[in-house]
Amino acid sequence: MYKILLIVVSFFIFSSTLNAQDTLQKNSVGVFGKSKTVYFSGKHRVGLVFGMSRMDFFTGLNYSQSSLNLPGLEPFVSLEFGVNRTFFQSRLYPRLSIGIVYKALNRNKFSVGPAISYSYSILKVNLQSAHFHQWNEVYAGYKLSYGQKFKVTNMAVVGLMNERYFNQLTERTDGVNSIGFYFNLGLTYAL
Amino acid sequence: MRFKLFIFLLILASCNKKEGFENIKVIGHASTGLKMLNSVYHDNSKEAVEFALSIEGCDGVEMDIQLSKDGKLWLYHDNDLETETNGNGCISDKNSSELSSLHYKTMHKEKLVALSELDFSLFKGKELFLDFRHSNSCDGSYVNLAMVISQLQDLNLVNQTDFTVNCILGYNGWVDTFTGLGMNVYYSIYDIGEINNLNIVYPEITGFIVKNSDFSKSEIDEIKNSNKKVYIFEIRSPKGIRKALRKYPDGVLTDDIRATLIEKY
Repeated sequence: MYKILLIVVSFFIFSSTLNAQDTLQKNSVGVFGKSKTVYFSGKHRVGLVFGMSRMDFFTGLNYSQSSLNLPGLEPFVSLEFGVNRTFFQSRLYPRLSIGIVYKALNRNKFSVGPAISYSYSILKVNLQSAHFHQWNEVYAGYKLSYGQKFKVTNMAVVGLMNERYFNQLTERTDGVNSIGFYFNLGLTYAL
Repeated sequence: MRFKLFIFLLILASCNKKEGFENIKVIGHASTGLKMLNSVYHDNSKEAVEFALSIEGCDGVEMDIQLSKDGKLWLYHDNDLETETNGNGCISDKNSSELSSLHYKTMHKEKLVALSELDFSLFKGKELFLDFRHSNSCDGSYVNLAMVISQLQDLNLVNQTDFTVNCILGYNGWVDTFTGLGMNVYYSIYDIGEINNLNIVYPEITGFIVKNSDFSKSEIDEIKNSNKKVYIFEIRSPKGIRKALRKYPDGVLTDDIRATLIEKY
């Protein structure tokens, strides 16, 4: 659990160092020939995500933040739950992710760029045991998004996945490494 | 407030309902599952065997066994080598020197492993299922049974007492030889109608291996009522696992050990 706290605290410390200020984005909307200007801040975005990794399908919430001080950079944090394990097997399987996207190409509505992320997930496989299975995933890939106030997003990352579990043969915690991936689709809303 | 309600509903959704599956054995099919996305290692590799046995709650492994040209038993599932390894042809047409240089086409590049290379001390108290291929995958000829038995005896798997050795056969021509040696024999059947005849002709058979989708709970009960054990295989999804466990077999040969343990406990 300390890893989860570490991820969340790191995200907010990093976000606060960006020293972002509220920005206003104009979105001219023509209605019956009249132009209407709508103001909203693009700094904070929240959204729903639905993704897939080797271990399960995941769904949850995503929060991201953009900043004028470091233009193009967008850190994010997500809290998701494994669909099969949590909802079909009634076993809570949370996955907390933190990462950052660099919008190498950032047009009016469309942006795309490289993304890196770290994820931590935990699952109690055997209720008769005191131990958990834990996964650490370090990935790199891309993220693209389209829209303004509402944005459709897509992220695909690949990298190293480490599973830590209690080895009943050696009676100690062991780790196994493999290649992992994560692919998601999301819908975000600018606050 | 809404967030707290969301968390509460999540916890509620995670409440586990026990259904009394504690006595059902969990056996890793092809060690850690056949062609499963969440498998860390390739099926039937030494790494997969050891990983499966190391998971708390796993009661044993099943492995696919094929005889090489020079009479050694190797772990491999497919008919030909090129589908999964950097080799070609069939196990039955290769010598051990050729097979020992091959590896799977995976990140870990796990080497093909002979049965003799496994560390049997890891099986203490566990169950080992050996699923024998009785015919040559390339030309269809029958495998030399005497060579198979000789290897099993050399590896001290015939009268093993530290762990349970079970042989899965799909060819009735081999049953008498294996039962004659006092080995546990499980026969693969695909229809309930087969068991009556098999029980009469081969009364020493220990039990049967059945496919999850082919057998209902009442048919599983019928097998158990004939004093035979029954293990269910081909279970991959949580729904399939739950369906198999609710038939209360003696054990399941599962492709997803973790998901099965979640359902069991």
